[in-house]
Amino acid sequence: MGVMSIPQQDPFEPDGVTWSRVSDQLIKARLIVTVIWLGIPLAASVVLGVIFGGWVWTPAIVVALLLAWALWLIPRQVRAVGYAEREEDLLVRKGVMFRSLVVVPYGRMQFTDVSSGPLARSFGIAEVKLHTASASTDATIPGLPTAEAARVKDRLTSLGESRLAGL
Amino acid sequence: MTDEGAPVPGVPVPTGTPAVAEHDWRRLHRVTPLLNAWKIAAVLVAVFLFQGLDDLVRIDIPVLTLVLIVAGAIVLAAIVGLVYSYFAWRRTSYAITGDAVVLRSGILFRKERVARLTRIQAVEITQPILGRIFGFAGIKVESAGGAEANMSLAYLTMDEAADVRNEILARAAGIDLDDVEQVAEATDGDLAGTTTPAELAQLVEGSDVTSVAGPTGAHAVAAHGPAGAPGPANGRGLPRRLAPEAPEHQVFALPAGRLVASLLAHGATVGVVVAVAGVIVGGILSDGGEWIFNALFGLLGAVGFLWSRFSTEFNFRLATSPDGLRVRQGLLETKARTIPPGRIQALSVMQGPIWRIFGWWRVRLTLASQGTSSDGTDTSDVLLPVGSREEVMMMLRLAVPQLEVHELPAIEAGLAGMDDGEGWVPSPRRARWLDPLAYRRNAFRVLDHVIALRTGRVFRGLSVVPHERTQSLGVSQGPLERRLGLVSFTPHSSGSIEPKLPHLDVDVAANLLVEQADRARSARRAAGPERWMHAGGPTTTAAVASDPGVEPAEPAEPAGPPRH
Repeated sequence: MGVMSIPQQDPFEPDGVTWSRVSDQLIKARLIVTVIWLGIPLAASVVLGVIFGGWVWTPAIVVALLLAWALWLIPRQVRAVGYAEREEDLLVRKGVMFRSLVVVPYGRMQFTDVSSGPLARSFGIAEVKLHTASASTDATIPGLPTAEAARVKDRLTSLGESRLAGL
Repeated sequence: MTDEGAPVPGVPVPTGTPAVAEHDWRRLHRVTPLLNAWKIAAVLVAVFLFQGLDDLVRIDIPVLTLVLIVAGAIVLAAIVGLVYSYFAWRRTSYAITGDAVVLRSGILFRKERVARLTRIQAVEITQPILGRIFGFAGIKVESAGGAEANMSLAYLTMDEAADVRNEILARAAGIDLDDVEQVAEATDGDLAGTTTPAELAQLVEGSDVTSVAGPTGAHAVAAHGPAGAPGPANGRGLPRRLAPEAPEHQVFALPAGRLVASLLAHGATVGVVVAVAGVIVGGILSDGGEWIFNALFGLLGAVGFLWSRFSTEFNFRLATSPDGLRVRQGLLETKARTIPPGRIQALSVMQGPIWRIFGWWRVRLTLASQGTSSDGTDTSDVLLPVGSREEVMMMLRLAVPQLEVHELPAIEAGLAGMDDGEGWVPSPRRARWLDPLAYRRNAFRVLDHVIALRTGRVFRGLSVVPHERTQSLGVSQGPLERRLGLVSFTPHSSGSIEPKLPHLDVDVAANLLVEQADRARSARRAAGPERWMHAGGPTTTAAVASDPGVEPAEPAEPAGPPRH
């Protein structure tokens, strides 16, 4: 590959990569969190707006717009998250407006984290995070179904061992 | 040193750690409690003075009583510190085995830390001011994982510290000291006669005749590694294995005048001067006031920064040796840090607008052990505090021996160049909308063994990341970049340098990402051994590291011994 590959239009779509998507359950989980975080201030500002009227409605409108925007954005964000296990490295892609792609060679993996909070657990999803020796490597795959998360973790671990490189 | 090396009672050897024979455990020097007690006492007294002195002064007691109380507090603090330090010292012991440095410590909560030799990133001898007066030093063994992963062996006598440092480095390099010792014992300690071990030959290979170690060959080893001479005795009264010190060759010494001048020309100094001038003018206009003190007090941070730069980088010297680069620095507290070959993860060269007038640059390096520890002190990461372009190029060649001579013009173009000369690939012209100043500077250049990133027009920067040290790669794109068809590229390296190149053309970036991943992969496969002088491994690294004058030879056989 590499040198032979022809110029391509989009670095976020490397040749011959089939992306795996994360679970749609992550949309629900993130929506719930957002609704809670923005819902409380929304309710409070609506109450204030009702009491005082006039310009006091402004914060309520702002928060409502923010909430609407978040509700519109979150499903897109979650659908934009993709990962691909290639032969030698793992690709993780995310972002709608601010896109990013990380290429992590298996041999560089120092350790992996699998974590899931109570909400994520109730939706049956977990987050897998790959750590290299660099703190700036941000290879996090959120919202994997629990079984898939375990499989990815095991696969990464075994691949990491077989391709182990030094620092 | 009667009880030195005596087994520490009541400590079971945890399973899973390298077996250390009881007599291999060594003690820190018995002056350690005194040196540490001083620190503890100083902290206690400081706390006492800050907290209690106000109250004490307010109480109406005779001055003599007050003095006695303070003196008593100091004595008490000293005793507490001494008792604690004594027990801490009693319970601390270390050992150097064939594949690890092991440190046991802790009075109640026992801790045993094992630093694998293959994973050691650097070894540093630190001498605090008291240690310099009385001839004691501490050793810091750095492993990857930030400053918290460092292991500190403090204090030893200066000679002992040098011996321990040499032993750790020699063992980490893959020299079988046990073997040498057997040979040495067999030949009544006449190491000069035992030039047969290939490792010893390698030790001095490539060393300059004018090097500190003096003449060539086994003489250098004999002069600096009296393996037969009875070292500090261990528990069984056998001579300790002494590693010969690798000969070193000083290549750079920073003149104090230049350091001072460079700090005077630093942005912080300019800031302080401007602020002081502002305060004076403001004071005259406003007829004084309390705010002046507050303003001046606020400047202490900048002054402290300048002072710490001066005191840590004073008398900065760099030497090469088969064990790697040896960096010495310090005004009050001195440090001598040895960075073995292949440990440097990334380099960055910087130049601010004022330094540009004088043609000065600063070179930083980062190791996997780099990081900020809990007490907020950064591991020193300077390779060249301030130097000319020629010195920068020399440092880069020393730090990255794989750089070929014909690649140097490209690196030079990375320092001050612009646009696409010397094969640099800059941002496309449309990037001027996002970065009107620096879009002609922002560029990358792929060389055989490194990728170089060039950024910044006012504050010039050049980052160099060896392919084999690239941890992972990233690209990112914001909405504006997307409209313009631009992408930012980041090779992730471990340590404190975070190179990033903004606004590349999408096609270029897409190719770079794929190709760089390939290059990093093949470079990893061809990477040299972690035990840089291991028998059978490439010996060229040592030769190159110790002689900057020669053109770096190609490693004969890229595949090193299997790593662990």
